[in-house]
Amino acid sequence: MSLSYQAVSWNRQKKIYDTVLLSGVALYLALFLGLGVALHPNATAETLLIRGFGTLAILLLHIILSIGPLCRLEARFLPLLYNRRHLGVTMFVLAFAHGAFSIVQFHSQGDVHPLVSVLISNTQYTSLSRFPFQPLGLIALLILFLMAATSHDFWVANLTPPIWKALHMLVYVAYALIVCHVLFGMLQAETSVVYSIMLGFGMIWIIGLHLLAARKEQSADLKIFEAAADGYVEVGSVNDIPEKCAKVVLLSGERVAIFKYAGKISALSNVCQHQNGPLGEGRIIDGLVTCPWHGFNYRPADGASPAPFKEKVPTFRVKVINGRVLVHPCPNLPGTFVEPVIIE
Amino acid sequence: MILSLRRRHRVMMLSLALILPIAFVAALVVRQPIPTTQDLPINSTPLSSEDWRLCFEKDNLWSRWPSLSRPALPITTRLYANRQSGTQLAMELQPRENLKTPDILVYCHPAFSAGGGQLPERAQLLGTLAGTETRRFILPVAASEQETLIILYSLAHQKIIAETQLPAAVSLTPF
Repeated sequence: MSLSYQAVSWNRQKKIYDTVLLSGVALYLALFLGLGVALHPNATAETLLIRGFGTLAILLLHIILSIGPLCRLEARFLPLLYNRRHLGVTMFVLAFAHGAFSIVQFHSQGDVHPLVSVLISNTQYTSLSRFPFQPLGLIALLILFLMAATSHDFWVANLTPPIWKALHMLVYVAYALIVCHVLFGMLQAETSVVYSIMLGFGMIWIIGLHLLAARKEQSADLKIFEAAADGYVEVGSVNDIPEKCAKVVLLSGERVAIFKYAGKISALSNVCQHQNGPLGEGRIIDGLVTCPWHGFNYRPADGASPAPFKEKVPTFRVKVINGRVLVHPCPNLPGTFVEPVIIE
Repeated sequence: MILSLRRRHRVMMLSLALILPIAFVAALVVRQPIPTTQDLPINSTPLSSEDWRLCFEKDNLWSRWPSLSRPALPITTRLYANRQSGTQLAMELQPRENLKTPDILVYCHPAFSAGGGQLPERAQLLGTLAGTETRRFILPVAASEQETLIILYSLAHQKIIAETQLPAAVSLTPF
C-alpha cells in the first residue's frame, strides 16, 4: 500500500517473489535449451528459443490463472496472489519474445511487412487442419500487452477498479486464443500424444478450478436473508463470527463483511477499493481491516483508510439482539462513521 | 469482486468450458499427416552396374559445420567410377535417417575447405538432398583429378550444414 505512484513499491516479500520467479524462468530456459540441444542436435538455436519462450509463457499463464481460484478455495495460496502482476508481466515478456522470434524466423525474409505477413500468409479460415493459428497468437499477445501495460496502481485508480477488472478479465479470451493457437499450430505438426495430454490436462485444470471456485462463491450468494419491519436483516449469531475475522453475507445485491473484534461488531462493504479484493476474507490487524490480496487497510468503524491514505468503503448499521447480529442492508456513504456495537 | 463482475466471470468460464473442449477434440480429429519430401517426385534411377563400378563407400564422412567434433551426419556416401571413361565419377548419398534440415542443396568445389562458412562463389550445384531418399549426382570430370570438396548447404537457413573432402579418383581402389 503506497500513497504516491512508483514504478514498483519494493518490499522484502516482492523481492523474494521476484527472485524465485526469475530464477525459475532462468532454470527452465537453461534446462529446455540444454535438453533441446542434446536431444535434437539438428534444431536451430532460433527454433529452441521460440519453443522455450512459448512453452514457458503458457506454463506461467496456467500458474497465473490457477492462483485466483486456488485462493478462493484455500487461503494458504494468498501469498502467491500478492505479487501476481509481476508474474503476469513476466509472462507477457516471454510471450513477446516467442512472438518476436517467430516473426523474425518465419516472416521477415519476404517482401511483405512481417506483421502483414503474419495476417495474410495463410488465409485458410475455412479449414480446421490448416487454420491460420498465428493471428490467434498475435491477438492474444495484444491483449496480454494491454494487461501488462496497465498492471500498475496508477491505472487501477484512473480506470477505476471495475473497468480495470473488466479489462483484465480479457485474460480468459487470451487464454482461449492461446489454447487454439497451440491446437491449430504446434499440435498439427507434433503428433506425440504427450503434448496433447499436457495441453488437455492444463485446460481441464484451469476450467475445473474456476468452476469449483465459482460454485463455492455462488453458494454463498444464494442465501437469502429476510428483512424485519425496521429494515434490519438477521444474518446469524455473534458466535458464528471468528474473532478478528468476518462473516460475509449478500445484502441488497452486494456482499457485506461483518467483523468481530475486541468485543465489538462492525459491518462494511466486502469490496476493497484497490482491486476489489474480498475484505471479508481478510483479518483485523492492529485494529484495521486488512485486505487479503494486497494489504490495504480500513478502519472498521468508518471504512476509511488511515491517513495519509484516502481509500474509503461504505459502512452498514448493525445491531446485536440476544446474541443475534442484525445488519441494515442500506449502505452508508463511503467513510461514514457507524458506532461499533458492543457485544454484551 | 463486485457481483456484476463475478457474474461475468462465471459466464466467461462456462463459455470456455464449452468452447475449448470442442476446439480441442476438433483440432485433434482433423489433424493430417505432414507431407515429407520423400513424397515429392525425384529422379532416383539406380546406376547400372554394367556402366558403373562401386569404388568407395563410407558411413561417417560428413562433418557438421562449423563444429567438426559433433557426430557426423548420418549419410552413407558411395562413389562410382564409369567403366567406359574411367574418369567420370558419380556420387550416391543415402541418408540413414531424416536429415530434418530444410532445402538442402549439394555443391562441389575444387578446394580443401569452405573458409568462413560462406558458400564459395565458384561452387557448382549438383542437386538437392532431402528426407531419407537416396540421391545420385554426376560429379564434374575435374573431380577425378583433384581433391574435391562437397558441401551441403541449407537454402532456408542460408548456411553450410556439412562438408566433406572426396579423395581424388586416382586413389580410389575398386571393391
